[in-house]
Amino acid sequence: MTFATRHPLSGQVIQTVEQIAAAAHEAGDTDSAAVLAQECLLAGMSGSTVVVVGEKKRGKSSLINALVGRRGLLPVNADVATRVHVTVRYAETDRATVYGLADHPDGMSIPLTEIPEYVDEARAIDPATGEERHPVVERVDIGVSSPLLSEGLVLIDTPGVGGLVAGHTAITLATLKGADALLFVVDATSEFHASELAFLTKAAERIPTVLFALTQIDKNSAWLETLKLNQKLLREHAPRFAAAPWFPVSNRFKIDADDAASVNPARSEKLLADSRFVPLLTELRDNIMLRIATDRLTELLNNADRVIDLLDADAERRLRSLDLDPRLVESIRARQAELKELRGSGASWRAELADRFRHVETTLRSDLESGLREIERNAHAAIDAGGRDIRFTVPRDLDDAIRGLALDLQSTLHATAGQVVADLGERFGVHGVYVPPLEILLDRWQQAVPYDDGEMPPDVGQAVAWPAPAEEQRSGEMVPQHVQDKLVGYAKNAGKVYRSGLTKWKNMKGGGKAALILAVIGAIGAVIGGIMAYRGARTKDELRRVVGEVVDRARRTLPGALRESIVELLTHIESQASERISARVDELERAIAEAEHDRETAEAEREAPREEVRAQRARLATLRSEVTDLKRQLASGN
Amino acid sequence: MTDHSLCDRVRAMCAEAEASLRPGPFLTAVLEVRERLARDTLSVAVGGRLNAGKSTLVNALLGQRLAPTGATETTMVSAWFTHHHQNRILVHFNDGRPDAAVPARPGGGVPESLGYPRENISHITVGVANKRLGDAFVLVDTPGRDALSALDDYSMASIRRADALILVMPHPGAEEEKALQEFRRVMAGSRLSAANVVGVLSQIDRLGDGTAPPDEQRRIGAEVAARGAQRLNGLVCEVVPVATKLAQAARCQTFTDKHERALRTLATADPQTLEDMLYSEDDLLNVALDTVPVDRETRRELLDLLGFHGIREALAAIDAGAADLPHLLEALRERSGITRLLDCLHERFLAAADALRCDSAATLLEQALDLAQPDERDVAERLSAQLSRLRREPELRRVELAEVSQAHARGDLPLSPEQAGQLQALMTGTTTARRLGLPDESSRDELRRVAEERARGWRVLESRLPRRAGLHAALVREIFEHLHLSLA
Repeated sequence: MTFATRHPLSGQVIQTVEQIAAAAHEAGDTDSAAVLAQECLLAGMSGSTVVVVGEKKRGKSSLINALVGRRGLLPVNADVATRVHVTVRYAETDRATVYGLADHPDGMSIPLTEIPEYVDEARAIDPATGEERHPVVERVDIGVSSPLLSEGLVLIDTPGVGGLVAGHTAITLATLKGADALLFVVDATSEFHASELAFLTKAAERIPTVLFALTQIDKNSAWLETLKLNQKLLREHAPRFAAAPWFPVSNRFKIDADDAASVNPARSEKLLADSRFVPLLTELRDNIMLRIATDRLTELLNNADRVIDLLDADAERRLRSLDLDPRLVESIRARQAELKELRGSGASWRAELADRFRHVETTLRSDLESGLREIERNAHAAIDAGGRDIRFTVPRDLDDAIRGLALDLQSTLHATAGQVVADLGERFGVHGVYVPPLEILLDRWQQAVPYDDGEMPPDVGQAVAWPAPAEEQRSGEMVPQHVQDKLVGYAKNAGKVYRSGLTKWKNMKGGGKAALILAVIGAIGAVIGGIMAYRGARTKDELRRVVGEVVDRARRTLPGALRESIVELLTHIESQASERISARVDELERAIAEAEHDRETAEAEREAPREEVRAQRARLATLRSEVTDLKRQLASGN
Repeated sequence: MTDHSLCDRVRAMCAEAEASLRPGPFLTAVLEVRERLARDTLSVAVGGRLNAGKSTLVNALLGQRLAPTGATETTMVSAWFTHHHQNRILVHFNDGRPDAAVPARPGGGVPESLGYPRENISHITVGVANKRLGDAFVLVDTPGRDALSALDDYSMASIRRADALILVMPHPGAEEEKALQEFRRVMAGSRLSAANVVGVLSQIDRLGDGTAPPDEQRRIGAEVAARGAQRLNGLVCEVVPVATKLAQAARCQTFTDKHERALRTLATADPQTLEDMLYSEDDLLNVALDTVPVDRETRRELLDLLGFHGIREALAAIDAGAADLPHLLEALRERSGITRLLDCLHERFLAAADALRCDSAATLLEQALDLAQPDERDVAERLSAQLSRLRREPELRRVELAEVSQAHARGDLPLSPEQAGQLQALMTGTTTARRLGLPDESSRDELRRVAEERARGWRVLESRLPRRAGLHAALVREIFEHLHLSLA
């Protein structure tokens, strides 16, 4: 099993960081080694998520089909509209999985041909009965062996916004927070609608990178006029996007080009050129993924730097000890005293921590309340406006809106946690506390660190074979197998708390994104479960009652779940910090003992260890300069 | 000639009231209604979202390319197209200024710039001298909704002044249902329903990837239109699929002998070459220039005029035997769906013009009653009594059914599918038989029997419903009873 990423430097970075992890491991700092290794692996498999958004019928699904080179993958018939989120990622053999069905909590496999039934708005309603065939489908996950996706690019197709129902918008917006780029799709036959621009503005708050695709250039030769008008409208109404890149394309030409590739290469080439797909493919594959990879690799190197600092400081102290530096013990005791104070229950960092989390809890509770009020208001407005479909659309939108709200709160909480931890290090000198990033989706983690059957409770899931990128696509340096094996070895030691977090998640029903903080998701499950039971509501009054009950239940359970998450997070951080401090104190205690011992050791006997430490420091210095050099290359290279 | 009797009655009522009123808001309102009725034509608004193809459709209906069309939204003010002995354009202002005449585009049609700021313009009237429009109806082209130019309120105001609506939608769906509810709020008398709204599924040539053979494309269009009609059941009487670009070409005399000859030449090419030519614009202009002797310029013209779908339709029509230009155009009109739409408009709107116009006018008068001052009370009461009597006319009662179907659409009136069907037939049927859901040849006895049966059914329903919903059911019952009596 080998892996490589889009980034040409990734191989070198990972090898360098592995050596630093090894050094840490050798020096006895297994925790640092483990965490570095884990981050290495995640950086090594960095992919990026692009959310494709656009109004019904603007050619979103067709665009995705064209991007991955698979005619008809997502349904695009005349009257089709996507009604759930569809994720498209790489897989060696084609597969599709449906999530959200009660009797298949881990997802149900379906053949690709059945996708329209779950995804297409029109097909989803049984014409004979007028009932929804699969009302509870949450999302569909599709895997295809497309070269574009082989390096980890994931495309998410969303229900059409703009002409669309409020609930889907909530989830789409929430999804954006965890994504890397937004691809907004319009077509050449009409300039922006006001509703599209309204959505775009909201979306932009959550995601910095926006690209525009203008489809159907084959249907309208005056497409350039439309594109220019769109750019003008953006300048006037949404200047934030005035500089975003535009990609005019023809989905039809691209798909036909792909089909013709083996039979008529010349025509295929011409069609590909006419389709204008190459700039978009380049942007997605190279620029976006490259930039994300650069960011992650830089982050990794920064962490590695910090570990070098720690190791070097220890080495230096060791040297001072061997040199019988008289002030050494004094300085160690001084540091110990500092640490003991930090460890004390009155330490200011604890108060600060508690304060920050209290503050975030207040904010989130208020966000929760106002979010629920708005959801309730929208639901009642929809019921009042009426229409024959409200008995489907209202529960479904309620479902989506509450999920969207929960995802949002989750993201905010996590971002805050990350900030707090960074501050702990900077302001209080408490390093080494880690909160895993929200992007650790359960399956990605499992891909990175496969556990043998005996090591994990069996129900946490099997390791997934890492997809090999297509030969022609690999451009990053290969990472040798032995390096990767070592990293996996270190990573398996990564904190017990990760493991227990994963187990806890698995024991709850109702999939979705995994995160360390899982109580909120569990609670959502309970709330949403209630909605499903109410699909039988027939009259407006019944619906109103359902809405009232569901929102009430959300109000009753979510704040508690939120508090649970916050407490768990706070406790985790606090205990990790305390542990780190104690560990440090103990280390220093050992250092003092060592110093005493050294004083009793003859000069001649101290020389060899001294040499060793000097050599170690020299190695660390080399590693440090490698890191610096790599960072510089990353910053300037692309 | 068309029946004016109901409108005549309203005019008479207005004249009578006016004689006894002093200047004031009440009198103004009454005068407005009489003025509205002065034109003996039905005004039909054409509404829909941005770039739905409204103006193209208007041109097709008018038979002349007068409304500006383009890739992006081109209609910025509402344009009333009415028959006039001269082609001329009048600009009407918001601020009471006298109307101004502006020159048409060379070749006829609304010029790109009217020469006055948009904010000051209430609407323009385009006089159309060609006989196609006749005195039948006045078409009102409106700016598209949901545009960033934010003209929705303005469009609504234009539509408010019309008697009937053609709702143009490229993708019928939830957005249109919402739009109809909004239209309903502003249209005169809020009587928007299947009785006076026709849906058009426009741009069917763009459905799917637009490359299917023409009859397949039309089939898809019919399917989508049918689904749309179902979704909007009760709110529109029908959804007619129209290939709007082709319709415009087939009706507007921009299609000439030269184009016909070129098409016939194309029709002689072998199928594979044709497929290759019709793959893309580039290919059409460059493939087989030597073997299929139609020069680039003509090919470009054909594409601009007909679009690919239109070209395919024309070739199919030629293959099916259209022997000369008039026959070809006739076939294209048929295939584009415009023929069906025109029939629909005549059947549904024109046939009921008197009732529709009367209904709008009567509702405006009913609203005006609130403006009466204490000293005008007796005039108001007399008018109110006259209006009540008027409302009992069977033709008008049918228009009242609009409220019933809206209640059903809102979910306030639960109906079985069968009952919903009976309501729809009652509202949209153009003959007594069709109103009862029966073929025209049915015997009088049969019609009577069904009318009585249905009346009974609705009486049962009425007794089961809470008061407000029951009133709706009562109206339906009364109409069936009336039909039954009239067949005695």
